[in-house]
Amino acid sequence: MIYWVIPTEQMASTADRLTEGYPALHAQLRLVDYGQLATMPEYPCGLWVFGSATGLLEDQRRVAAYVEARILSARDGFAAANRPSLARPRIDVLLAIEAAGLPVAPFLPASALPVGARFPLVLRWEAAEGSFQSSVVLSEAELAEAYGSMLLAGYDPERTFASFLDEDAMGLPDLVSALRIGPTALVSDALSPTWDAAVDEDGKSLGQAMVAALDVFGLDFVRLDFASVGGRLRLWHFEDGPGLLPRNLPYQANPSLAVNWAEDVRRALTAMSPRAGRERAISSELDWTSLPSSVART
Amino acid sequence: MVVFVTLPAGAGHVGYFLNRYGHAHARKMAEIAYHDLARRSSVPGGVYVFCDRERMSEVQRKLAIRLWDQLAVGGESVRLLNNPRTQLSRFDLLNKLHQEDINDFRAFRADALPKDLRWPVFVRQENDHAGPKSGLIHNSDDLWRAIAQGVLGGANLRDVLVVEYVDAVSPDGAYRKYGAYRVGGRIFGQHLLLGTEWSVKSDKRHKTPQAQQENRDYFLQNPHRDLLMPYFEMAGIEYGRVDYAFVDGRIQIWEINDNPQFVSKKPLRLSNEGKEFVYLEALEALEALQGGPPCPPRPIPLDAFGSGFWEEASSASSSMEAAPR
Repeated sequence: MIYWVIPTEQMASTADRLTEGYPALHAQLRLVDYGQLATMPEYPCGLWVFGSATGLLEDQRRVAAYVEARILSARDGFAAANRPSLARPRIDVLLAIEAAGLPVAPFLPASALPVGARFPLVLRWEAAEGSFQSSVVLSEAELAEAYGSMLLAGYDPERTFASFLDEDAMGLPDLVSALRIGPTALVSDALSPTWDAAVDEDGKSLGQAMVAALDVFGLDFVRLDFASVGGRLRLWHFEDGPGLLPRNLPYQANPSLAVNWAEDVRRALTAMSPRAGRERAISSELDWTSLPSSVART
Repeated sequence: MVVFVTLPAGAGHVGYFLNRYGHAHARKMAEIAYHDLARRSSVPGGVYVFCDRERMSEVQRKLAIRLWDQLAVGGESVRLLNNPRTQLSRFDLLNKLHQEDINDFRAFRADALPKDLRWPVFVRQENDHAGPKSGLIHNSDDLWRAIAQGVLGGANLRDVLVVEYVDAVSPDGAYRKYGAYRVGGRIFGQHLLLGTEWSVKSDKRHKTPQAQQENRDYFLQNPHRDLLMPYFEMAGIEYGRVDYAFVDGRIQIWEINDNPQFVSKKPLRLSNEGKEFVYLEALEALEALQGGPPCPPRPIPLDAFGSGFWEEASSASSSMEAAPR
């Protein structure tokens, strides 16, 4: 069984998405609200996928890591993907991928604005898939208005960034995607040549290099979206929340291929699941009183 | 015109009121989000109520203060309520009420619990108005489990409040929760709920004739008008609703909500006491105190994102914890 841990506000939409597009997967998957981790009497064996781990608030991530450690302490029959203990905010992950020399669409964290801004740009909140939180910004005055409006509306400045666009860009670039599920990568046709192309002298492909970079942050189940910026396909966004399963399935025009896609996802997730161990479940009786020292910030 | 300025999480209350009591009142009240107000280059004079201070992150508060200061330039053309610069947060208010020997109970942030916590306690969040997030808790293990549940649900640890319980049961076995509005200089009782549980909820209130009579009397007699004003003043709230009870004859203040719903989205029943007329009169009184020429009011220039914006935004955001997602 697969247990997909989901932030409360995404529970309903995730259930809908699975029912509509991934019925076979839905049958072997249980959705668990993050808050439930503290109230479940026991943690059953299986694969525990921590959804939106990179989007968790820092305290939330630390408490989730506390639960993760309990689950993994059982070893036999238990496994975890997208581990909160390894996750970091998405902007940090993008910066690390960029620092590794891999192609990332040019961006700047909001904390560095307005210095370094290059126009045109759009403001994005890291967890928002594809879309922008501002219209195309062409000047510093427009930037102040767009960013200030986002702050007043409640966007977290530490999770907001500016993406620089090509000069002639008027909106969201077309995206092509790869879905990483453990050792499996489901890559769209348009991305395949770039994904398979060598990026270093040893012949390591972009796909292999990306997977290695994602491993540092424990991102086993993640969708990578690439956009053509500056004449080259670059990483634009990655998604480790429930939105990583596209609502509009690839090959939507051909229902049989859509079924194949959903089946591919199910098969890859199943392959990540651990073999049955001796224990069917472990008690969730954590020593909650030690939580303060576990989540204490250094 | 009274304009309520809100965060997205607190939006909609004016719409609920108009849906319930008639859109003719739209001439008297309006609602606008902070981020929409800030985009205006000018606004008409009038009464502006700054709501949702309790829900604000530090950067939101700083930007709201900028808006306040720019509106204040309008002088007699505007009247501003609930100054975000001076209004106390819920935690600071509860702290002060205890320090001043008004509240018997104490409240603590979850990341700063004392060793002498008095049990039982319950958990709530600083930045919402949804009431307790737990039942009564009697030991440390259960407390931390409840805190973990809140944090896993998306709350920052320091926004989780641990509140010591005081038993506010009346001699007749009922719990009485009072709610009174302050609108400028006026205070009136909105509701008196009776229940059998320590956390009295509207949907579980007693609906007996006696309970309804007590509720009606509370509104008509407005017995705590003079008692309550100092607490609103202490909180720096000129528009809001205080929720309170009595223990051994002493008032205990649970919270002062700076963006209360006068009527819910789906009201349970029609009010027959005419509370809305008192509310509307109080809003009109706010306008009357404006002092400036009644019509047309002088437009007030706004430049929320102009000079000094980046300094303000970066100083606040570098010191803040994550805001609502």
